[in-house]
Amino acid sequence: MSANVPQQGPTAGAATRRLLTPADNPLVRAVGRIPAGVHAKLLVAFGGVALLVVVLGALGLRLLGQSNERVDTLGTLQQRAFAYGKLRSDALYVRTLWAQNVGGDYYTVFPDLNREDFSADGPVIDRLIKSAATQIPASTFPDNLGFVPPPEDEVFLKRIRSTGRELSEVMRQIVDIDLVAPKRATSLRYRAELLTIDLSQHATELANTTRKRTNALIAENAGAYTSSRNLLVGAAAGTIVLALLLGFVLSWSLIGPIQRIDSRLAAIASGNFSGHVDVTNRDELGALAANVNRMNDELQRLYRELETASRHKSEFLANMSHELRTPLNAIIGFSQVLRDGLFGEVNAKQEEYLEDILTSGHHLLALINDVLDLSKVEAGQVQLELAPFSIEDALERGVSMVREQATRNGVQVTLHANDGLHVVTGDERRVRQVIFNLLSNAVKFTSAGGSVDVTATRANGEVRVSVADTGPGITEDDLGRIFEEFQQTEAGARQHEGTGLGLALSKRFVEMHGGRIWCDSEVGKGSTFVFTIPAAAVGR
Amino acid sequence: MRTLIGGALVLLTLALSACGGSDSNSASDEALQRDSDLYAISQIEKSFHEAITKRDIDEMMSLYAPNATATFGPGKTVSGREQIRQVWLKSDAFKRTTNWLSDHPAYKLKATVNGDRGTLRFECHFVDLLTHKIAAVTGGSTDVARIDDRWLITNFVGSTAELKR
Repeated sequence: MSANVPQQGPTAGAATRRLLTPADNPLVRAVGRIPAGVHAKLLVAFGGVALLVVVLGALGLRLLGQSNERVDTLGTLQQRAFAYGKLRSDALYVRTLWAQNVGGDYYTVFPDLNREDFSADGPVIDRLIKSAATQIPASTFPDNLGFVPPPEDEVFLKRIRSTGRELSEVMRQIVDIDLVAPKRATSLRYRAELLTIDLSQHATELANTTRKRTNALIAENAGAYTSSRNLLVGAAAGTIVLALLLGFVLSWSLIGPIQRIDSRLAAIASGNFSGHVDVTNRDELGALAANVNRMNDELQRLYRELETASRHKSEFLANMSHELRTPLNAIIGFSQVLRDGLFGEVNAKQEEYLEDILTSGHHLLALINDVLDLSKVEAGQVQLELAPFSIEDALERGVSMVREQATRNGVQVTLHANDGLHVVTGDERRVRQVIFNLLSNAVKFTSAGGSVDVTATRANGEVRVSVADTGPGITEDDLGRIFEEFQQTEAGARQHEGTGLGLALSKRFVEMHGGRIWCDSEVGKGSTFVFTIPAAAVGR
Repeated sequence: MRTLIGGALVLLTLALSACGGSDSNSASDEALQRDSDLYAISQIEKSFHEAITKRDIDEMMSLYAPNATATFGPGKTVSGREQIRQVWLKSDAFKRTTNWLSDHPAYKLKATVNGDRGTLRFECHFVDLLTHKIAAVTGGSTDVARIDDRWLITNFVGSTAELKR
């Protein structure tokens, strides 16, 4: 176990960055600290927004109602203005008619006026005035106006009514006198003229007053529209702002903790257990953060235990390998000396047993060496000794090492090394170990009459070596685990040979060079093991 | 975020402050405006007599609205400044041989005002400066209106003076 564990706390840069995030807003954190679930908070937020919309709608309806009332009032006022305008028009008509009967010094100022016309038409005009004046009082009542006039209008209407009646009466007297002697009614005429002036003035004043009120209401409507519009726009803007604020605060009270938890989980995933996630929420996210912190602490504890156990295992293996290899060398050495007869002849039975001791001792030594190598690799104690070397020479040496066994098994080994392999940079000893592993496996599992072809090529800055045999092949299931420690194929297990560590070591050595290793195989036809290493490895 | 909230609050404040505005005049302002309008309307009568005394037809015509109507007597209803001018020019008041002083009894002036409309009635006493006698006494009742910030006669109807009753 040799994972590189970064043991660092939050940096100053990260802290500064966090201070600038919206999630650190005091309001956002305050919402997070509210002791309610996320569901309740969301419900309240959406309810709040809905309430704001309802308030806005109610306000709009109220303003619409007020506007409607003003339109109604304006309609009534316009109806009154129209009726009073007609009344004024009638009064002015009477006034203008009377001007046709003007008397006094008028003819002194305007000498071109024909006084004779007056003499001829005077009685006719008088009758016209009488008729018109009689109609005016009747026009001031609600039945003829078409509406009930308000009290402020009634003051004017009463004046018009009384003046009209008086004028009507005076004109009746004038018409009666006209039948006898037209010019004798001088004083009545002055009275009548004054009444026509009063009548027209009262009617005009009423019309002007109503017109003024109408104009004022129109102006008020315009002002009210502006006020209503501003109020509605203001309320809508306020609603939008509040809704945005609510959305901002609530979303960041959720997003902030999630981001913090995510950040902490990422740190945990990369092996950093030094920090804790800081979430002040008192909801589900707060509980999640607390669990993440507990998980962090538990993982940290387990990780440290595993680290310790792994170190102990590596130390144990290294020590044990060393301790085992020393007596084993003595066993192998003395067995070899005895078998070779240096201390006297041995009989056939003794030689057979000595051969068994030697074979077992070599097997055990190989196993111990592989375990030692693997332990060192896992402990990170193996450093590649990079140097230029000839891959072709390495292959030839490998082939020569297995040739004797191949010949004994009846297997033909052929090397196809293309020209231009040149020199590569790598750890020659480890590469040769890989080549030997692959070749010895191939020879071992190939039946008599079979062949092993070794091919080496160079392309795209890497060297590619393949070892193809005509052995039994490897099943799909075995292909997935043959590069793991102590894993063997069924054929390997049956032969009771090998340690199950050769391919695992080969894989590690190739990968330390920055290369790859894999196997293509078909049961019954054979296997091809391939590895690549960069032409100029830098080591890992 | 602070900028967003700040901008929103400013917007809200502006919108709400705009809602509170009111352009209604106070009662004293209305009374002041009314007095001012009545004074301006009464000045029409003053200018009317001044124009006759000085025989200044342009000053007289400046008192009428462009589309004013006027009834001076039997069959003498005219409209527009030009027609009104012609009637006045044919009157004795504007003859070269006439030396009248136009005066008026102030207590017989009556003016009303309602917004941009009003009424005005007054009498005219023409005094012959050569004989020192009253040559004629007439009257007029008018409708007036504020047009382009000036009070002008929109309808004039001549009348027999009330003094003669």
